[in-house]
Amino acid sequence: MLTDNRAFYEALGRAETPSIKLLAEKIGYNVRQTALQARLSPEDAEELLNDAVVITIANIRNGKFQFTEFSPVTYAKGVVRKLIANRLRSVKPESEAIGDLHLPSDLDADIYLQDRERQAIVGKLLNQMGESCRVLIHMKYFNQLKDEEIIHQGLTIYTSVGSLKSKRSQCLKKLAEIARQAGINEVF
Amino acid sequence: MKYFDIDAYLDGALTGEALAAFETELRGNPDFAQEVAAFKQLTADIEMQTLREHVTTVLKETNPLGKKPNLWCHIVMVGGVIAGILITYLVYIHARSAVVPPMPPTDNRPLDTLSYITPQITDNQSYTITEKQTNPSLKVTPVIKNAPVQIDPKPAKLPTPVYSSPNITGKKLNLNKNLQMLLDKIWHAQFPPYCVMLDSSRFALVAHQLINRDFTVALESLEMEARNTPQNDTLHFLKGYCLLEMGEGTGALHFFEHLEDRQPNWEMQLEWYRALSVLIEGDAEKTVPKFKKIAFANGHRYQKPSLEILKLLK
Repeated sequence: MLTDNRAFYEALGRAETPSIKLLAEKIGYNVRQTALQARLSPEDAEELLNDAVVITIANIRNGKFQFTEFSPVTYAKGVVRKLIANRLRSVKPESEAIGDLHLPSDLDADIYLQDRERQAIVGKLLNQMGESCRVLIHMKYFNQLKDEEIIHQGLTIYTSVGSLKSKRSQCLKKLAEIARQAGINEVF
Repeated sequence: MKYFDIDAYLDGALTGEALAAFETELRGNPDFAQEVAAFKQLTADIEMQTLREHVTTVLKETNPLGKKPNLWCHIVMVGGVIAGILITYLVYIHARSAVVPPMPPTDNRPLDTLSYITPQITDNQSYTITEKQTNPSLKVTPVIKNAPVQIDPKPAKLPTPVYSSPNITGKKLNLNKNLQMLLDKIWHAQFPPYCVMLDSSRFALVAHQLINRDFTVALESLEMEARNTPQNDTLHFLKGYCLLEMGEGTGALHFFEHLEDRQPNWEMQLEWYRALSVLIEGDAEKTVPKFKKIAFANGHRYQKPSLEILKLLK
């Protein structure tokens, strides 16, 4: 089960609920202690925990966190330290900050926090879209299902990969258009 | 204009000539490059945001930081605990009061030396039970401790059964509509039985369950009780009664056999229950003699319904 590091890592990559709970439990104490030392509020500590879990999973998904013998817990603790350091604006030498932890050296906390605000708005705009668009987008970008899987399992009304891609493309264009109108990012 | 599949490119699904053509276009067409970048940014944002929303939802349920609940949570929790204690207390009180007159704790002691409560059988039926009576025909009669046994085996009239007979569809007896209707009319099996008195300390819970007609649960309680004293006549009687009401005639019969050897006052009730047990099993050959025996016994409490049954069994 999740006692095996690789199984835990893979379950996190799929954002499975038990694995998220387990990771949060494992780093919960660490976050609480670190937040106390840094005199962060309970709300900040909660946000810190959420961010650490999200970053760990995202980095598994995008390949930045490759599986080694280390547990994802170790990686997530490293993320917590980086995020704390960023919050405190106290730039410490990396070796001092991480101790013997396996640190995600690729994490740029500044960029992460900056992106988070934009992503939150994208999330709100996505929620304003129709149900069919939301489902299609969710299947690909959250559940990470392949188009062939979606068609094969009959998860939507679309019966061919072409029609599915076409519909999702329309949805994304519409979302980009709404985002542009909202002025959240010129790049859209 | 040539179509380029940005989605496939970002997924890494383009290969060979398609990939080469895409990259050529990307290098030579700044507008297209911007479009691809925008698409990439948008989908990356969606990925992160949907993931974050999922994580937030999951973590809200778990409270991994051991965050203290707010004041309202405290109030709700304390209220819940108080309500739980109150309910438990009420159920306990209810179960205690639900008990019928006590029964001798052992079956081998002579009846006239026992210190239990005598049932006073009235014209409109027996004694019993709780303030929350589910059977409106049953009345609570004051009980007297240490009184001699005064069981009148010949009540003037049986009350109309309140509950219908058990569902015995599928049994081998060919029940016609009339017989089924009659069975409901003569299903004199309401709890508590007129002759058996229950030990209030032992059978409080079971009595409560039987009054509520929760026969399966009552049977389980009796099984638990049987671990302590497997050879108790009251226990056997109640087990048989549960099975009878559950439509398990054969099982019920097993428990009703031979009890009158030690409990002569139960004889009429046992004969009636045995006859009903056989009847619901659909064994016509065995059923008729049992009802005949009751029907021909002058003054038998269940004479009249037995005669009615016999008419229809002809």
